[in-house]
Amino acid sequence: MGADILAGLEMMFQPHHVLLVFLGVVLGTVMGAIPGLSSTMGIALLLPITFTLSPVAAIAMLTAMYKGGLFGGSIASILFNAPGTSAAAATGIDGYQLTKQGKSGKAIRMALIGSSVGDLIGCITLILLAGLIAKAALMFGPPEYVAIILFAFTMVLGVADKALMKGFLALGIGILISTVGYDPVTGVPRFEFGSMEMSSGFSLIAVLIGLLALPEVFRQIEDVIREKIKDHKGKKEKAEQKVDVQLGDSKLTWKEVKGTRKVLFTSAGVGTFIGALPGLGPTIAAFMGYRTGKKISKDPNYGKGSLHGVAAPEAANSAVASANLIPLLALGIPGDVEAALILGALTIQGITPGPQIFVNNGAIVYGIYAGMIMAIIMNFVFNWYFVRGVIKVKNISIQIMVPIIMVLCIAGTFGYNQNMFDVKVMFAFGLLGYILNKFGIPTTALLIGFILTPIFERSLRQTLALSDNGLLFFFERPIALVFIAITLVTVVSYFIKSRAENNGKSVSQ
Amino acid sequence: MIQWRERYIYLFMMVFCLVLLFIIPSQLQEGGPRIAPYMALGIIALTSVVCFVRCLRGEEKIVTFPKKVLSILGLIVLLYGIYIFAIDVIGYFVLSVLFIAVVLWILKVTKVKILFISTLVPLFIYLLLGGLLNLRFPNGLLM
Repeated sequence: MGADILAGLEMMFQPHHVLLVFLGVVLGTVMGAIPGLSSTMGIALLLPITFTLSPVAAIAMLTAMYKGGLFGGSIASILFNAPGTSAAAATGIDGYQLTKQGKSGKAIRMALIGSSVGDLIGCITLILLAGLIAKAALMFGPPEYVAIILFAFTMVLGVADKALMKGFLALGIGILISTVGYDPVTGVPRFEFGSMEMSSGFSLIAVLIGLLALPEVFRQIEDVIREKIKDHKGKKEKAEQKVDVQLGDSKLTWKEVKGTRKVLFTSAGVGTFIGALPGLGPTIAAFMGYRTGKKISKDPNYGKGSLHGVAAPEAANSAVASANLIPLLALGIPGDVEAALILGALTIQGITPGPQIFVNNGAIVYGIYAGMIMAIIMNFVFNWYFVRGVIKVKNISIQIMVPIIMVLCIAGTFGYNQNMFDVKVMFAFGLLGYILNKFGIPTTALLIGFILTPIFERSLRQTLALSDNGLLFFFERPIALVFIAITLVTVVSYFIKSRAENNGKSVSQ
Repeated sequence: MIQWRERYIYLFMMVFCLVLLFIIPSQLQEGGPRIAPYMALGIIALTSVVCFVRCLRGEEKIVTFPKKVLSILGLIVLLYGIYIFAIDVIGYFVLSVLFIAVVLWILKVTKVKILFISTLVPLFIYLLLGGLLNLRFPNGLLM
């Protein structure tokens, strides 16, 4: 083992390998920062090129790209509420509010700290506990997934704030939209109405950009026109509006960072755990991390523009970037799309992941570990200063940004699957999102339904197929039962709390 | 002033649920594949009814627009729709230049900036995505 570690380090610390890791971080950040593009797409496009590289350099570069992309996605999410990646959608909830308050620099740097800490915790867990966590994840069957996702659905309580019914309405729409396309169990198309394109369902990236980026662009246009009309009535010339991206408020104090540590480490733990479970991925981790953060944070502004609300989802989604390799390396099961791409890269190199990888390719595994830690450090250092450049773009005119973002939305949506149907879907969801936002119906709840339903449905139907007693089967599974109990307690306590608040209001009136 | 009333959203949702009630049996295979759609239908129907009743009780959000705001916003959205649906015919890069220029002109941005941005942004996308990542955008007339 000692010899493997040394050999791995020797492999990784060659100058051109270090350069490739840095390149991965830069490319990933840029891809992640452009709404609609993602490091996943970058990894997929770079995959054939890795054939020419050594296994350690190839995997280290791809994981570096993924890490850079996860953070990069939060930049656009914080500045324009246009998440570069689906995993950054939760970061925008508080991040964008902070931008509106002129604290975008603070938010981006907090996201970077959250991202780096989460990633580091995930990576250390991967190195130390890969075998053990993989063993625990093996105990999870369909009933446990059903219970976990039922618990995840309670996130609607968090994002809907006081409009609970509207939140559940959006969740219902999200569930319905996710059922369009091939049935996850039988493979039979649903709601395709004779259209080939519809039978594949709606692309996540199209729905995501449509629901989060476009409505915001439409709202910005509306605000600009309203302002212009107001100015015209007042007969005064007005300069183009500026996005409030202030350089002055980019300084994070040690006290602020220290204040987030509880949220940071807990959410990173959540992200690591979710990352180790195959099939869940960084988006679910981000929302779960956000929800967990909300539970433990003492910040009253959580959800309205809190650094805790930025740190929690970023720590959780970045923890996945390392933890998703636990089932891949230990069991040969890819944890998510990115892990599947890395599995492809390993296969290209003639390496089969699984329990034997530590025996047959120990040096390569430790070399990959070293590369991942290097990527975390590079990601932090590069983006800490790159952020300065982003914040310096403080004189962006909304009028100029609007068409640019609209064009980029098309580029990103098209680029993901390279088909125009996705772009049309994105446009339709943009209109839907704008209307829903106008009436305070949370599109985030819709996204939660859309993202989680496929796994929930597949697991539920597998559970029903496995059991003779229907849903009573859950009572035979202690882990699932614990999650169901937590879900019930969460919902009941929320209702008790909101009733108490309403009673308090009526007494004061 | 143009008004958008919240109740119409829920009314639409309730009608949509009724339509869905007929679509599900005709479109979907019996058994498992219908579980999630019926679950969604139940949630949407129940929440729509509750929200609609609340609107009737006076807890309704009414969004108002000056006519000019809605007409300019509508025009930009319409142009965006035309842009998307015409990409296959005319091509992504040609239309991007035109779209950015027209929107900037509608939003009263200076002519120099219009010229600069409308050419630079599509060129950047072309070099980054088309050149570096080898993405094939529809070329339309350029083919």
